[in-house]
Amino acid sequence: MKVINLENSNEKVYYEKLDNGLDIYMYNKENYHNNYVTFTTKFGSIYNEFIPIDSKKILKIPNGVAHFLEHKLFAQEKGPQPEEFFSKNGAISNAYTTFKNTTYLFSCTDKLHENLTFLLDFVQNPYFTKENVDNEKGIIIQEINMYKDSPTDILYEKIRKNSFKNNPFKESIIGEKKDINKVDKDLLYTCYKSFYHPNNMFLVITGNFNPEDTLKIIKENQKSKQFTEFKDIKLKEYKEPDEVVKEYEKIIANTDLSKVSYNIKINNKKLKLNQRKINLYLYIIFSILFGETSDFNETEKEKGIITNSLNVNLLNTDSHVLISLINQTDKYQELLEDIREYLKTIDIKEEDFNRKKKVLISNELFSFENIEIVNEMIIDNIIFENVFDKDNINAIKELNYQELKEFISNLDIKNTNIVIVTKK
Amino acid sequence: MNYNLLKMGAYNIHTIKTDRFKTVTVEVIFRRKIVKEEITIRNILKAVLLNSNSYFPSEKELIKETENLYDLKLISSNNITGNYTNLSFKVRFLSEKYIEDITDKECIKFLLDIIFKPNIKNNEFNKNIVDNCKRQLEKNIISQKDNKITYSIFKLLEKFKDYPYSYNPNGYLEDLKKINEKTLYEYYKSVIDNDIVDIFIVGNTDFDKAKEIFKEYFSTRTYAKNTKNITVKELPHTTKINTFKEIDEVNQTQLTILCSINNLTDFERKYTLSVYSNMLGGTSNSILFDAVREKNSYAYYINSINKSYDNIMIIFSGIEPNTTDKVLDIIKKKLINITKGEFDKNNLENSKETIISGIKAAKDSPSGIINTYFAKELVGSGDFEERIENIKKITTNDIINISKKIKIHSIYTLESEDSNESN
Repeated sequence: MKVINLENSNEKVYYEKLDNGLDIYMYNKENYHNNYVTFTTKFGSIYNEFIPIDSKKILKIPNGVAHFLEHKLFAQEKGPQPEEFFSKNGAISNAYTTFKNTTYLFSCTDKLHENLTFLLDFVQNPYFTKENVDNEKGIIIQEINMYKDSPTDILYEKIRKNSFKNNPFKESIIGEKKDINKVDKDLLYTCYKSFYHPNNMFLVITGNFNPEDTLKIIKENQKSKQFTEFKDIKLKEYKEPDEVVKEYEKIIANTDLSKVSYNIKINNKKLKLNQRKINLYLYIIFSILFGETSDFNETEKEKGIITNSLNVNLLNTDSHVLISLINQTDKYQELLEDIREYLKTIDIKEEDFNRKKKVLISNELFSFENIEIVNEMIIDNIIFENVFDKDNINAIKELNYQELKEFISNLDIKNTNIVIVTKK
Repeated sequence: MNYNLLKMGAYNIHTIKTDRFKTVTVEVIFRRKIVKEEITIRNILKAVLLNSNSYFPSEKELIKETENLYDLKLISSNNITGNYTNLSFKVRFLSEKYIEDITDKECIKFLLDIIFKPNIKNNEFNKNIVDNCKRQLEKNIISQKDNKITYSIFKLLEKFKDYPYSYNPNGYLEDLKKINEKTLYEYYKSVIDNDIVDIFIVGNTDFDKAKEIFKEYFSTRTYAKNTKNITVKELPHTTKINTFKEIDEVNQTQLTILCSINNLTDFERKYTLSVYSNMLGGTSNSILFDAVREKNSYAYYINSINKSYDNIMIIFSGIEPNTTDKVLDIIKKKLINITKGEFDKNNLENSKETIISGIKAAKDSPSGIINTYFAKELVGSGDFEERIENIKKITTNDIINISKKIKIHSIYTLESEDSNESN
């Protein structure tokens, strides 16, 4: 078992790679009561064109399959169903699907090892039948309808659709009704076999437990299972232009307050820094420009154009970063004009930069108080950086004002679009 | 974890010493009997006080200061328990043991300045700030429909005008119009002078020092008072269920059900009802989740929430259009089954385990700890161990008994035109 020392936060994470390829990360917090366990596959909605493990031809799958699979893995052929099992142990279980991963999780105060073994067993033991797959369609279609009744979700979906041409981030994670109706059990098995190999998965355990004992339990469980040889999954390559797909769209929806977004599409490669630094600099720049401490925020409020500061949202795709400035206001035309004007010159003061660095470091310290946040932080690092080997504070400390200024001079913010959701 | 109650005359300080956290959390809660016409102004007060004070007269300067204090978290909330409304101001900050240049005292003082050194000139709040907060609240009120679940629950509860749960927690546009920098100052003074105050401090800090800080800067003129009649009067059961229907452009039908609860005992209110509601619709292993979603695929979510101090329970689900009658039949059948004792006994044991885990896990967060001790102060519920012991005691018979006290009272649906025609 390796120890990853997070020196700046004075914390440590235990790490081990099993023979079958499964990565395990453990963060132990004595005098806590709860445990939070996540089991993640690097399979999310963007993996929709790939060569399956037992094939040589590229396969295009409908949107929403990763999410469908997430729902259906909860079905077990024999014994208690996952909800029932976890509930009996006082554990709360759940799962979620994102663009790049699917995560199965539970939290519990007691019987950690029993629950952990069950989590591994149910995720590694799929049971798809024609009947149980068909039954799930109605449930997922209601989930789709729930999002369609939310104007904010409509906005977020449209932002990606209008920004990306070939990048699979443009598609919805859950899919549309027509996609869902195309899914059958064979397709689910194909995707499962390709992406749910231990080598493509990792386990993160945070809470109060003994890492050595817990690792032993996991090893025993995994030793008893057979896996085929792992093959790297070939994904279809795509070329994404720097230009957006559609520069302006106004959508009429069932809402009484308009939602507006100004979106900037930025090519990662041209920024000459690693992804983590790009994110940190972008966060610092845009929160200084538009956050609660900005002149922009103050002026727009005085003019009565906004009442809350703009929400700055960063979406990391493999080719581009999409920055979205979002607000709810019926005075969106004035707001958009002011944003455009304001972005003509980006000037960040050193004093503000240093203050934001302090904020970022403090937040890392805050997050170690919450075992769920620590767990999610480890997942994020692995999904977006492919590695978790040091704490984020290192990266934050490395940021410097000179580099920021260079970063700003390389920043090309001319590829933009606007999406508005408004009432009739 | 070591709990202590300091009676300071006008207010109580609850100290919870623990070395579990690197942060210290301090929360000040003002409470009074809820008055419908005060909800709006109380929300405005919450927002305005959080926006600036006399030392940092603009939002920009105030937030910069929180960032300088190692991103001290400044949070306020306004919520309702039964007949009472609780206005809270809270800070969470890194303890002086982990940072060099800022003391716990500075951070606690920062919170007290938010409350006692507001941005006031000539007995008036700053007009620009009040106006902006009013515009924000107006937006919250007009955009309620964006969230179909909370909107539907609100539209259903709104029908019961004599009961505080019918009040819109955001407030009302007609009351908003009447608020200005002068009336807000009057209301502010009345809160400081009249509300019941409880203060919670969680973490590893010097509590004697903290007490001195409060003695010096906590300048309220209030006096110790008791909370009376937290519980809202009962909504009598009805033999004929009321139904309300609203037509709108929606993709799924919102089905929201209000259950009246009569004759609860104190024990049932504090413990049994939460177990009953958890079994019925609290988790993805609940009776309704299994019947409506897993067995029939009518919905993605179905939940029940118990509002013990309102004597009501709410069941809500987003369902496939045109299945309202079928889903209602299932729910009614399941409610009757529980009354007859026809339910899987594992469901009861599982719900007890789930609730007990939740109580234990609450010890891992400052807010979980404060909520537990605030409930103890407010309604006399037990501390962690006592609550766990009481949940353990609940039997099948207890569930059957309480189920007889819970009846469907009213049903509200939000549905599209098409589903209306085919009904």
